[in-house]
Amino acid sequence: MAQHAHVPRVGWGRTAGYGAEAGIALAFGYALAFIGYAVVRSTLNLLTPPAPDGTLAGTLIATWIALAVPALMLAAICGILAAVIGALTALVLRALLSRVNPTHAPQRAITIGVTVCLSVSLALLVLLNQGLGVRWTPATAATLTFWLLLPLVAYVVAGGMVSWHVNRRLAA
Amino acid sequence: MGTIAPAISVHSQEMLGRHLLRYRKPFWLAIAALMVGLSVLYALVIRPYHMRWGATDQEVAMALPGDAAIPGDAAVSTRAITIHAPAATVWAWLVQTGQNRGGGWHSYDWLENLFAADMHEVDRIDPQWQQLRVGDTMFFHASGATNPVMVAPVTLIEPERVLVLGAGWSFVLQPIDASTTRLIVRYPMQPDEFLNPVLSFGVFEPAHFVMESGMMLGIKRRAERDPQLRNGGAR
Repeated sequence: MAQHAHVPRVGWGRTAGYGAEAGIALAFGYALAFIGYAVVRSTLNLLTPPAPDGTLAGTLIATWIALAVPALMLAAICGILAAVIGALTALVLRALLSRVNPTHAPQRAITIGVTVCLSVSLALLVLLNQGLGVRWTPATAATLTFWLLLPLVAYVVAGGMVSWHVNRRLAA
Repeated sequence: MGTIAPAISVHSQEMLGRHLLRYRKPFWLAIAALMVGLSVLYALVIRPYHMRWGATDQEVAMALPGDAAIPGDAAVSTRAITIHAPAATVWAWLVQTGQNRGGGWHSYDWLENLFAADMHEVDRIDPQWQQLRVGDTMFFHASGATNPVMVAPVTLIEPERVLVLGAGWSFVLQPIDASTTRLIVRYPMQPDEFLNPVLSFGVFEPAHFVMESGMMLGIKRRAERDPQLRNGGAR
């Protein structure tokens, strides 16, 4: 444990801060990934003949930026919700790590983080399916993949990372 | 920890931790710079360009049949494109627009379907959808049957010449010669079109440009593929 001596110990407030920051970072990271995907898809569409009037370059650049601006604005809005979810998740993880991982084993911390986030994700999916009647159909597949499945995968992975990070600080 | 060999060594943890922290500040600076930079670029360069995408000064200034319905506070875009096909062919594709009329807006289906629009690529003229009258509707989305926000009603129609949807969204066909048509589209966006002015101008307006220009190119692509197609003729 002596190797961790220089790492400052983390309090509840700092833990919530880590979670919130991770949530906002994920929202923007997801938006950047979407922008990359949308730029490639729209470019392939626009390069299919016939070309637009005027310059193709102007249309391409305008389309790319017109895709990026709304995506970043929506990321900023969704980032508020992501920050709240991230902070709450981090607080739950810190409480669990203190109780069920007294030796601060990193693998166990990651397992706890992934398990908690996976449980929350599954609970959300059950709620949406049973409560709101959300179903996986060919018509909803793209929507659910984009707005639910991929964000939940990112949430679970981030949960493992935040748990590992908080555990590392608790071990200091 | 000493009794079980950890998969992630203490040294590796420290390295990874430092690595993440090293990129933390640059990440947030990059996001902030991207947001500010793109917003300024959009407002000063891209928006003036896309609000009159492809249109001449004359087309921007000309009065269109749907203008009377445009609210005074609307931000009006006028876009145009030359299609190497007769007006009848362009019209055949134009009236076959809507999620409820053959399945699409001839635009970016993959993007619309991220929002559960349930759009489908349409590659043939269907005689079933060639009749369009004032009061008919075009759905923006699969929920159009139950959500009036997702519906564009036809408010004015002159076959092979003019189609006006809602409050002044005009599609005008101007024959240049027997085999070439100019498609002019004017859209009035109200500041509260998408909840509030910030979201309307920052989210809805650029997204509308992407979809509308995509639609105009989609109609051009389809009409030029079979320029001899006549109104109502099945392929």
